[in-house]
Amino acid sequence: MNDRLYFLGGDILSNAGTGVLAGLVSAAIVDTGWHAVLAVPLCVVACLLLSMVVGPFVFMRYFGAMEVVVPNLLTAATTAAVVGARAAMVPYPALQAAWHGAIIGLAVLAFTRYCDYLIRNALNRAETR
Amino acid sequence: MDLATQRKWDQASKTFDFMSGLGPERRWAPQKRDLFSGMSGKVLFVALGTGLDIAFFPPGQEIVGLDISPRMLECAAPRIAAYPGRIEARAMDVHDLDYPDATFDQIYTSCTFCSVPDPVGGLRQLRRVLKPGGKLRMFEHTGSRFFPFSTIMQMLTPLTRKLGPEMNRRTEDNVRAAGFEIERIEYVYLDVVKKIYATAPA
Repeated sequence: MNDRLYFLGGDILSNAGTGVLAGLVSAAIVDTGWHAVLAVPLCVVACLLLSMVVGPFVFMRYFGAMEVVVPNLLTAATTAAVVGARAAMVPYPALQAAWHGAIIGLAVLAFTRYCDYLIRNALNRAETR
Repeated sequence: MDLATQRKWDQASKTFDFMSGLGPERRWAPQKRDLFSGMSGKVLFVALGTGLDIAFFPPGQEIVGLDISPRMLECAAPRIAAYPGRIEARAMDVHDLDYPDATFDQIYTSCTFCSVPDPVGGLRQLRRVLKPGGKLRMFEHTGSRFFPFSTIMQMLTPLTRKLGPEMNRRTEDNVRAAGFEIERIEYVYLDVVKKIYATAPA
């Protein structure tokens, strides 16, 4: 497999995987008895710490360093905020939380790649002027 | 010698190749090969680590490779021996370089100044041992200026600092503060991973 496809596949796998884990962890921590104001920061902290372990030791090893770590951290924080807030309001089955986490992971990856395209192009263009 | 930093990287040497030897090296290979292809003259490579970057060095060079961690350099020994050129490896702290002024024609770093405790102090040392007009070439990851990347990297730096690198460094500002002139910067990923081309003023 060429490197471009390998790393694209790796980015998709690592972000979806981080989203699934963050969704499951957030749904496991929070239930409808929680206040969302407490649930969200707690889930964000827990999922960022989880991502700091899973990202470097699992995904980074195979797929790259900052290109993996940065979107994974963002996926963990976003999934934790969304799933944590929702789990505090309505019953949230684990499977649904995992599915939503995976979708958030892919959305974050798309967002990060778009930002990478914009930022890199703008800065590299400014450098060559 | 900064013994706390030395201990940290001696410890990290046990898992360094496992963590970085596959994905990061393969992903960054074209960029590093391109940056290092300009090596010529008397070259100093700062933070040789376990020698993963040696694969990207052009053959036939005469390179001094430093690292604060003797354990890292022990791991690097087979790669140093296999290099088709000459690499002299020395355990040394970048804050306290044991070389006279204006010794080197070029200095290279690779993911180094995310971890040097006093980056401006370290870079000043590099400027001292670099000949006037000499080239500094850096492949580094830094903090981001852009939200939300800046926020998340800022938040996690207190934790990552304990394990290895910091995620919020302003390396290009540090390069300028140490007295180098930046020729150009090539951005590799966001504004986070970059190649910095700088010169020591004549």
